Amino acid sequence: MRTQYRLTLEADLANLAKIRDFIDEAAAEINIASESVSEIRLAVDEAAANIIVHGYQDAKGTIDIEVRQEGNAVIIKLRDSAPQYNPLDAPEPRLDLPLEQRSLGGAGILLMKEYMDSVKYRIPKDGNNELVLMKTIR
Amino acid sequence: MSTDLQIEVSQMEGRVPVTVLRVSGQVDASNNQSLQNKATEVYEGGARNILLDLENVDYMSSAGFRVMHSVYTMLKDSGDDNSTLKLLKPSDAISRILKTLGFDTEFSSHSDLKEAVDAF
Repeated sequence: MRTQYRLTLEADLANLAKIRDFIDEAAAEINIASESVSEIRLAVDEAAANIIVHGYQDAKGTIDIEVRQEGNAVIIKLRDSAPQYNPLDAPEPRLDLPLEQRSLGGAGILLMKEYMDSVKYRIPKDGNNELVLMKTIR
Repeated sequence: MSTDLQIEVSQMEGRVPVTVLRVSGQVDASNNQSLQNKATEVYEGGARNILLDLENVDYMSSAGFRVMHSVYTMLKDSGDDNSTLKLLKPSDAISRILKTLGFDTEFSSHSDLKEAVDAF
């Protein structure tokens, strides 16, 4: 059983389903409980969608996703070469306002943070953006 | 793998006419626009009470919730005080997100079609 799984693919919204399938496969091999898999799948989808829509915008590029088990946690890294952009800087939804007064964005970040134990952004040596999602699985 | 959404439109009568959008598939940022477009189309055709039937939706990311938010706001802004959106049979995962985003206090979810239609 491997402890590291990697997928590199075009940063295209049509690939989100493929990314979700990849997470499901890696999670099954690592033997992660299904509720946690659902949470991780959503968080990774949100992260990837942000990279594609806000990072690359209309430009072409790739996303590199690595899933690794480390002790009792799973660590997922998403790397891309879009212009440097920290998705965690985006404002979160104003949950205090009535729905019709809130702007539409920010829910993806909120869900990532809700479902993962930690979400961190860094600028890697060999790319422009890296998002690291971590969740305790045992 | 195709991630096209299937959306069936039907009309029901409760106390008011209700337009049901029955969605099938997984809703994400690649296909949420088709749901938005369908909702806008029925709204422009006069629909003011929209029921989103999510029984066959086994996955929805924030992209889908953005559409719900947008449709809800469109109905609220219509000038008809009673216009609203309701949901039918959201999965447990979707219900959890409705709560996290605070949508559950703004529009209701139902587990039965007749009950949902009569709730408008």
